[in-house]
Amino acid sequence: MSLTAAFKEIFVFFFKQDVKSKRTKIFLFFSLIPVLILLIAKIVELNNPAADVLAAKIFSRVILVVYIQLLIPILALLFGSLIVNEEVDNKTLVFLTTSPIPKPAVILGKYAAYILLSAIIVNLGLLLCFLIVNISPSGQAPQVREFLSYLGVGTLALVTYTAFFTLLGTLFKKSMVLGILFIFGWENVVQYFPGTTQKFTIIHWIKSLLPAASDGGSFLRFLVFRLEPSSTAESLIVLMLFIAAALVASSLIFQNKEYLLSDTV
Amino acid sequence: MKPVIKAENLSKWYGNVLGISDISLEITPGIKGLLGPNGAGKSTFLKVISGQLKPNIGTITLRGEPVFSNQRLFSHTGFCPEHECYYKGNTGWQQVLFRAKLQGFSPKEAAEKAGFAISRVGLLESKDRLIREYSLGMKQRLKLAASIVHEPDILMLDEPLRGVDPLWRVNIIQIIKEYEKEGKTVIVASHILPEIEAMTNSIILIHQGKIFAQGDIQYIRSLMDSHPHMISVGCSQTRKLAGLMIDSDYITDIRFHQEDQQKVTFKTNKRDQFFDLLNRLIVEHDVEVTEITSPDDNLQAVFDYLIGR
Repeated sequence: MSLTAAFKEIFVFFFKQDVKSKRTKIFLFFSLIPVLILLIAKIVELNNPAADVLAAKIFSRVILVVYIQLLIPILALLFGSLIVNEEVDNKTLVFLTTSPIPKPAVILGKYAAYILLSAIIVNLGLLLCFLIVNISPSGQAPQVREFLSYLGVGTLALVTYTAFFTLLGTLFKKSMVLGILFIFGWENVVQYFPGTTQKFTIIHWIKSLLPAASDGGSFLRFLVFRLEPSSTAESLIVLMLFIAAALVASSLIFQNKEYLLSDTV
Repeated sequence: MKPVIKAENLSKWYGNVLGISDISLEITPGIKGLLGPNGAGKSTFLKVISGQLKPNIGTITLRGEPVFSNQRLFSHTGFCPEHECYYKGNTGWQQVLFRAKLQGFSPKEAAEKAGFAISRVGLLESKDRLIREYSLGMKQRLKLAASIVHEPDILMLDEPLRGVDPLWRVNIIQIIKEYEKEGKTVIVASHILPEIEAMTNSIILIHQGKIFAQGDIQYIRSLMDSHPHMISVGCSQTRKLAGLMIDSDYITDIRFHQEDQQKVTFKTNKRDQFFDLLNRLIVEHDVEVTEITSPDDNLQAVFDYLIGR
């Protein structure tokens, strides 16, 4: 069976299977919590214009940060590390590895299915947030272009982080712990190191792609805080190469590594 | 006959734990029973020959090709693992259909193959039920359906009758025997002797990761000349027969049965010579024999002896 045909079968099967899974519903629920918060803020704002509750401010200062710096990496960690580990834990790996399909198709097909799923989850939440923020009786023009660029960067972050955590998952059984340390330790600390060191984080390259804050009062200022951003072109190239390298490495490892199920011997 | 599976000095261990050790054997078409107690290395051996594990030492070839990561080969093999392996939230049909699609069949062909496999294991009526609602026996049959959906030439079954009800045990044994009739190779691992006996008398005994013996039951017995065989003879003149036999060098023990006066049991360490002598004496002395049985001529006796119980 060719790589593309196997990729398609794996992608369709896992997307269909996971789109209705309990896990996806839970992830969707968590990603919609910020929407709910924003909705409440908007209702308060609309009913009491004098109150200091501005949905737009909450969106820019909290929600976007929650999405791009927290929700996306966590979602990527959960989905990425599951690609191999759930097959090992559920002992379904044998189902895939004894089929006449190229092993990389398993990694790439599941990766694509989970990317699509997580992108739907994240972007649906972000889109709802954006729509809520832009419910305005004054009829102000929504910042669609800026929002779309965030949506694109968010999706790219998802693709990058998931590729990295897929690699961790193919290498280590306890990749979830390492992933948490990476998100909350490495990424959150090293990105603020000056010089070249910050470039060893994913978030540095992601943030470099975000629209620059035009002034101190910009509603995206908090999120856009970047120490020494790299150029857009350089960031895009680095991220693309990183994604490709992580996926190739994951595929090669999966191709050659033997995974022991708990019943072995 | 050309071997389908060839293992040479095959060893596999997990850290300090030995899985299999220095296994060399050739498997030809037909049913082979892989027999051994739990932890003997049966599953490890099956995982190595099904390409899931790499041997640490030695080589394994299927149809002359190395196995590990040789995905092309897997269209000729079917593997039914011992453990449950299904995707939660899937129906039986979805599981088998997915397996058929992974074999490279077109959607129409895959549906036909899946339908045939599922009906073969008697799950056609329950095919749209969630697998998690299946009984253990049904899950076992579903695994079998998934492993035979592409009608492989080499079928590897790890404890295929575990949890299956008596009626379906017979049917599964029948399916396995049909594979043999088609000239295919089936390896069945089990720790339950009657299961293997019901399928084949060609066995491989494995214990502590090593092959103890292989061949049919009689061949294995012939390897064990020192192992005394029990042979019971039913006749009306048990004392006369015992008197005639007692001088033989082949007899190590004679027992009369208190509960059955018309039966005498001999213990011999030379079975073939014993039977030659018995036949001759029966004819020469006109002893009327009603039955001759060998109470320990089954797999259990061989197995117990070999593992030193």
